[in-house]
Amino acid sequence: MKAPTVHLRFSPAALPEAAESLRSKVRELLEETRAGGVWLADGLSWWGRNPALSRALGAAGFIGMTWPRQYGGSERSYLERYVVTEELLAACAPTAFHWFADRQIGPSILRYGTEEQKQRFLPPIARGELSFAVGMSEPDSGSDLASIRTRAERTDGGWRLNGSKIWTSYAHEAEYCVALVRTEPKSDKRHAGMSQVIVDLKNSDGITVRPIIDLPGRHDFNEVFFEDAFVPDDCLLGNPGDGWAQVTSELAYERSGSERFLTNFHLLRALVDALDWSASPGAQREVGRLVSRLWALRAASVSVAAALQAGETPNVESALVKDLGTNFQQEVPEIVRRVVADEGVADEVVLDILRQVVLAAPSYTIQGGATEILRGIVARGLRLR
Amino acid sequence: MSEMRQLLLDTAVRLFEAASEDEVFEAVEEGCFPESHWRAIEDNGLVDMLLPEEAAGAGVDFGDAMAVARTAGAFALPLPLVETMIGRWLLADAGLSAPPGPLGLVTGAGVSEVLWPAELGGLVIADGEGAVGWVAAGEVDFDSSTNSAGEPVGRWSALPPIPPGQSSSLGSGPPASVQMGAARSAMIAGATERILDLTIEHVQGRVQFGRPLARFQAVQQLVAIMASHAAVVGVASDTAVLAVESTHGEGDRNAAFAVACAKARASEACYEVTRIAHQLHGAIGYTREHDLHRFTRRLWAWRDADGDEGYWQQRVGEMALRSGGAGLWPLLVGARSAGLER
Repeated sequence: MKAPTVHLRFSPAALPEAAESLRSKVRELLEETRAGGVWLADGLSWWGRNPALSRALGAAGFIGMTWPRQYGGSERSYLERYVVTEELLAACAPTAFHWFADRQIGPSILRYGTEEQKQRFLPPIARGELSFAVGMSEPDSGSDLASIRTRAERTDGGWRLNGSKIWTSYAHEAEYCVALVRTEPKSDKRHAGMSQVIVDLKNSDGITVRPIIDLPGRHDFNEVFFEDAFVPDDCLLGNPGDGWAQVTSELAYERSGSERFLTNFHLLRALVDALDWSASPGAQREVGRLVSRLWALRAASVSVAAALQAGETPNVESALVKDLGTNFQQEVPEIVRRVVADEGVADEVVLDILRQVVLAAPSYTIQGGATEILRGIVARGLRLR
Repeated sequence: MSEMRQLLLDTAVRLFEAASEDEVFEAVEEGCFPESHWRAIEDNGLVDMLLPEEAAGAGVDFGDAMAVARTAGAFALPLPLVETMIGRWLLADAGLSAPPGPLGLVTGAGVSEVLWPAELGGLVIADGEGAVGWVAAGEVDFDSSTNSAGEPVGRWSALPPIPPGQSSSLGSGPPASVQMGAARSAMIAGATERILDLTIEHVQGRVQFGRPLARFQAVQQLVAIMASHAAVVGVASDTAVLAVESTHGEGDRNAAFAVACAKARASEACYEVTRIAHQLHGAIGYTREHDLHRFTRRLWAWRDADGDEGYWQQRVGEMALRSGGAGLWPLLVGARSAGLER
């Protein structure tokens, strides 16, 4: 019997001092802005949208951190960005205004955009002044993203868009949306003929945004209809036909982040606050079970972040972390629910957060890649398919 | 990987591969101690690798030693290597000389049995506050049994008093329960890695309904779940080892917390990993004809050894509740940032 084959690579990683030293700066900024009434932890976590807080974070250099200085970035490492985002999540700070642009749109523009696009979009994103939505899913294309039908046809000076996007969070508030569209008709090659376009949501004719109220009763989802909406040539992102490769290249960043296991950290923190040392051994074990799983998930996530920093593309490892993280998040409210009942916790803070989190939980394992799809990616990484 | 670690692992693989022949496991099931393999491990310096070179050890890092423990797990090594290695180091660190032969190690993590009681030179007792000592194994009234891996184990109702001159105050290193928790997690990680490998090999090779099992989505999803547990157990174990290695003075809480989380997670994962492995292997996995049982049976023994998941979850829970809500996040991200809180 030989040594076993290593199928997935998760090297342990410690965050460098430079990254660790950013923690206190983020905590200070959050403390000041919270004391100043800029934001409050309303239980939505990063899903909340607060332009004022995003501007403050931008001014402090916490958006677009890894980008070149000439585009408003601060040329920090990916691990430094990792520390900043996890501190924001742990504090339950509402960051959806800049989150998508900081996490995936900005990096896409940096990698595939023209010089003019980089100068036009990146600095205001980094200042926390420009908000983007992500237009991928369509009414008939969820997990099967390659089946999208929204098409962009050549016209004088640009492209004419027809079709619709769905689940487009904050499309009713964001200035722009980056949409994945067909620039060529469907062919035998499933992943060919798609392109990304930057759509000006505020100043284009032929765009209708229909609100979709989600299960908890909030409005962040929308359906966005394009009827001969015009996109000028200078808003095509990357090369026509490269859309699929561009979208998938950002997935490791989208999936391995700590928002996949820290979205309801405030519930765990509130539970710990509501219990004290005299909690029953059973309650201590349940808290310990959640905390140990969270610690282990973070270890895996930091390992993926270090691989990204080293220039690798750990798509399989990211899918795995997202799957485990979101399943963990889904279990948190169920365990808290039992502990609260067993220990007779009457603390309104915990109970209130618990009610909100139970309603939000079904979304965790769907957004950003459904569990079944992620496990398929892991299986492919293990050469099973 | 450092050259030192690579060299050490090459030696470990060679020795453990030899000790994983069918005859060795069959003899172990009959209660026969694989004496020659133990001697080879001793002769190659593995039991004293943590000791400094001036004490005739190899002076390797804790991380190197834990990489060997992980390899032992990947070969289902039926010998008390980690107990002996850490026991000898604890005694040396406290200025005591160790008895010859394999050792049992009783830590504060609720350890109530030792492997191969009839073969042990001694029992290292490091379950109290700040002290370590040893008693000759012949002085202990063992109640003999076997663990779920079929290895002989001894339990006791009371341990004899430690003779004068055989105990001392603990040295400066991490507590015995922390070191053994890390080592056992590493062994679970190694065995889990092996089980994943065996399972992938099986589903790729086994054909039913005209295609390999690996082609069925239901099978793929199960393997993916197992792979997730294997990956997290592995990285958690490695990360805990890093925390132990960077321990100095104040860092103690960080290492103890990391190891508690890692062993809690490792022990917890054993159920899903063994459940899926047996499900996918079908009837052949439920026999002694296939190698799978060597690893799954050891996971069932090791998840309980040196503190089961309930024990470590409670330790983690206590630490979390003591930190309070505001201290929970600093606890999770490590001692250095906890320092920033003060």
